[in-house]
Amino acid sequence: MAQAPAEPPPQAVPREGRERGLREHLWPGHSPDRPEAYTSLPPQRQPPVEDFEPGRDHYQPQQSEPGLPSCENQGVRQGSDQPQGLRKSIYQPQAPDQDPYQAQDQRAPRQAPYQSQTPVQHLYHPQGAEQASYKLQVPEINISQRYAQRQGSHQAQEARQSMYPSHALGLDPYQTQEPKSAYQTHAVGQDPYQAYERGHGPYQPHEPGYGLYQPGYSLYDDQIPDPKSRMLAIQNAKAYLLKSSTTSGLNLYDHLANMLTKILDEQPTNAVDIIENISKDVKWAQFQKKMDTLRDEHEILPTFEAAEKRKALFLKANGEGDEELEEEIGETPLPNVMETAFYFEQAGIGLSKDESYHIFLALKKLISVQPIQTCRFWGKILGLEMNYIIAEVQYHEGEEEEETEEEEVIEEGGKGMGEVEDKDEEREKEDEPLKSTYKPPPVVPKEENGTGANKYVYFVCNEPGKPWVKLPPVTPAQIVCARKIKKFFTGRLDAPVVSFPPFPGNEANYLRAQIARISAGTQISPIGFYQFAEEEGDEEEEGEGGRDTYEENPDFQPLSVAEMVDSLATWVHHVQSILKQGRCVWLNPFQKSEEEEEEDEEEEKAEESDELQQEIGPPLLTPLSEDEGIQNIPAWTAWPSTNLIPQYAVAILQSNRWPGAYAFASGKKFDNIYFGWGHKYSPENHTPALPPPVQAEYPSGPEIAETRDPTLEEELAFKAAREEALAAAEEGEEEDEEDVVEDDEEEEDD
Amino acid sequence: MEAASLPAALELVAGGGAGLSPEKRAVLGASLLLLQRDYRFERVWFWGCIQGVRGAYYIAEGLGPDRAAPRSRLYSLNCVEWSLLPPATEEMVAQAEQLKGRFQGDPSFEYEYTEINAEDAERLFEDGKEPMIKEESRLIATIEQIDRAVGIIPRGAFVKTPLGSVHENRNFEGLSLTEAKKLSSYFHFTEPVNLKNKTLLEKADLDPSTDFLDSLEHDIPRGSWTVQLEKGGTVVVLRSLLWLGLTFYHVPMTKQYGYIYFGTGWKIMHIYQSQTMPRSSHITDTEDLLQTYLQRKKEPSQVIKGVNILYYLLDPGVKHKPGILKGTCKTHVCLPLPQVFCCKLWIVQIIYKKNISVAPAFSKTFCTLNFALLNLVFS
Repeated sequence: MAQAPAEPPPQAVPREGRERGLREHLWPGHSPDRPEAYTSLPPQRQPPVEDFEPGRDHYQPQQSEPGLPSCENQGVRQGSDQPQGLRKSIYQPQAPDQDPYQAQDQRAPRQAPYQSQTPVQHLYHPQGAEQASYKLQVPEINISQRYAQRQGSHQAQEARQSMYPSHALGLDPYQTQEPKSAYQTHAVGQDPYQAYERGHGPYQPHEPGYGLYQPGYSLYDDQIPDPKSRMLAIQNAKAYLLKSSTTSGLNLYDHLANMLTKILDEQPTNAVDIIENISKDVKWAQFQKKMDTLRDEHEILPTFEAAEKRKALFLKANGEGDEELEEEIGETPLPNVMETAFYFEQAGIGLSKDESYHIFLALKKLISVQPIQTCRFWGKILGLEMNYIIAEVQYHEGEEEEETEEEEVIEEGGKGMGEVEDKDEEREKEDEPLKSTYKPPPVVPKEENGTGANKYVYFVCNEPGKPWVKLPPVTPAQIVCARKIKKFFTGRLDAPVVSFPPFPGNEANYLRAQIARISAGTQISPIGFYQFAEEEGDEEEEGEGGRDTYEENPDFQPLSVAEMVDSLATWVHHVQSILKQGRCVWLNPFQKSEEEEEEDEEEEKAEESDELQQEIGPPLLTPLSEDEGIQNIPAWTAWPSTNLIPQYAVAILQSNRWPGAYAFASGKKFDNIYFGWGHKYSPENHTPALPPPVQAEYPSGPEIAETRDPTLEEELAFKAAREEALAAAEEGEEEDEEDVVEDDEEEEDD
Repeated sequence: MEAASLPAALELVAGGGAGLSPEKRAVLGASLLLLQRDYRFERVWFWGCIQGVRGAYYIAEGLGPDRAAPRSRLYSLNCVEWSLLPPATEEMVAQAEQLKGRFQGDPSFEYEYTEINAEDAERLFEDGKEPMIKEESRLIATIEQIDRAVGIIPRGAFVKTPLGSVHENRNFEGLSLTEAKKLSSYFHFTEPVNLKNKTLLEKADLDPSTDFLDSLEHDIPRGSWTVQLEKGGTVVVLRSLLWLGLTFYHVPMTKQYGYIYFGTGWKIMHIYQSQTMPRSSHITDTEDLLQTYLQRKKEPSQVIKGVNILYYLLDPGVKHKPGILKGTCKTHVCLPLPQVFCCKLWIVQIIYKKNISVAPAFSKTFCTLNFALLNLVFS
């Protein structure tokens, strides 16, 4: 005992902090008596003792690891030969010392049946039972014994070696602590044990190393003859474990300690099955920390920003609430988004409640900013980068005109651009003598705001809380082109629409055109909810395009849900359908040009008679049963929201032409909504229109074709003919024949 | 998505407007549990629903101990009674691909073959089978196709054990926000195809236990996924543009992830039309585009092989830039179409190597071929 401290481990580095933590995990559960003694240990430590600390500390994990879950550990120990080989290599230099222990190996099997119990606990009932203290050895002996049983006799030696560290480690603390008061009991406890040992086996006196036994020496000293060499072995082993890896800079000792700390902290079930993962996890955690400090600020920012924006929605509502409340109590254009969402939710349609509420607040904000008469949540169109939330509004009548003026200014700007192009063309024309005869077809004028496809104004935003952007009014050309293309929205209103045929405008225009098309196709209401105004005088005048105004029917009697679901005739369109021309009300595009340019009248009249027939769409408030399906697929599918409780079901209509468009009706309430990508259903995959056929270069005809040069023979023949003719000229009769010949020649040339 | 986390997950994917009614949510909470008991599944996933014209199919998948093994699939029309679907066969998938139009909502509905090849027809008649496809087998095939093409998981959510089976990674703590925005952090949860074709250099950085699947990064066509942050940047939502209706969600730094399909079971083929024109209309870009196109499309390349393509880059403001893709032909052809001006690129002519043809090239075949290329280049 006194000798051991004299050889301080050359490479051992004490790691107090971590090991102490580990120790606290190890001990409290097993021996209630001990923690005080142990935790108070570090301060008590004296210089020579400290040299032993690595060894002692090492003892604890070793001792408890096999000792506690001893049954489970069998599998691991037996399954892996690696540790064994490892230890052997460590102990090679000590080979001579091991010989005496072969005898012990043989003894080992006999000790096998001992119950595995926590060694520590037995340590602390020193006088209780001799047998109990004997069992103390069991866990370790079991291990070596298993090796011995499993392997050949030469391997048994290795097994014996593998036992060394634990023995040695186990010994050290007791050696050092023995003189100390805290370990007095400990020392006492060993006496009976040793006595028992001594009297146990008949072969005991022959055991090598017997002579080393001293009473009160230590717990395991029957097996440990030479503390000096053992200490060296321990130190070598620990030095090896502490070697840091050249690639990662970690060392196995710390890693094992960390792993055990983690296991004991988290106490996972079947820890042995996931030990690899825990090991990986511990390593991973080491890198994780560093990355956190770098990334934290950067990563979480967008989330915070978004939260800030959403918070603004709530704040403003509170701030302005007092003033607005009084005004809005009477009548507010704000739709009850949550109520609508509730009805659609009955059919499994709709956004999450949070999002609906945010939209609700965003609409309120929109109304407080704009002079809006009616407002509705139109739906949501999904995009590649961002999505569009769309609000459908109508301005107060007075305000609308101001807005239109602004728009006209913008349009004039647009026309200005066109003029510039025209000028460029004119310049080009100056250089080129030939003038193109191509005349573009006249542009169909857009419908006035408040009528037709521009009846409503649409505001969009990407997320509730972001500013609302007003979409420009739609032009017929945009609608016509939008029908030919199929593109995903990007979520940026200013994105160009790259398509064929080219789309006149950017994504905002395309979005507006699609909204117009979807609205015209899918905005429906229960029959009888709306009726035409009673002024019949206008009917004749507007007879061409059908009446475009309607009002709510005050006497509307709601139909039952079953009726609404059974027959599509109980639903009507309340938005005018868009004609092929791109307008809701047909307009002859040539009317204006006739007045302006009288020269072209004749041509146009000729064309008009061929092409221009008035397009007539279905009149307003046409039942859905008139809608055409697409290739055997009906235009609409209707179903009740539930079959289980029909009394409270809601009638749901789903458009098959515009997947994503839905309508519900329940009593006097109904609404339409759209959630989707803004694409019309097509049974075939979309194929863009083919480019028009290639223009012919020039018409081939006799007047353009170059004549072939006459061959010499022909020339001679011609000359001969000429001479003949001259000769014949004298005779007037033959003239006619010559002409005939010449004509023939010309024809051949062609 | 996991049946257990269904209610929370539905809230997270509701941004697309599709979801389940309260009735269906409630019934699924009970019936999926019973499925797990009756069929002895370890896990039950609610897969989604395929909407037909007259009804919808609700689909659930059951997983065994090996998560990557073929999953048992069940469908239900009312979410209460479930029927097990037989596993999909290649033949079924091939047949279903020929069918067009919507699902009807009736599993016993029979489709007629719209187009039958001469060989197929002979074979079918020899077999004595009628050329009919039941909607049920179309359903099986469609689910299989969707799972194969767009069933995805985040990287690291599953690990492959040395024995070859695949398990949930109990240490998976979610992707970080930066990783979650990248397509390379998501894997197809199906038999890998491209992994074997990777070079050793590419494989060097892969971890065999986690990187045993194909990532979405090199999906064809490119741009078939949208990645968005929703709910104020707290959820990453991936939507497939190939199978509209497939939504995947993942809450970064948590274990919550899953995908669900609410759609009509229809694959979108015109996706290339949706890609945006490269910003710079530099000739090299165009060449790259054309080259990739020629390499990618198998059928046209038979036609295009050994030809030169003369094309013009047209930019309003920039003079015409003629370029030739392969070869050195310098024949110019007048540009006949006024509309051309709006497009940035117009492939004027495809010229065969030996005889340089000028006017005759404007035949109908030229136009269609030309058009095939236009599809790619314009859009």
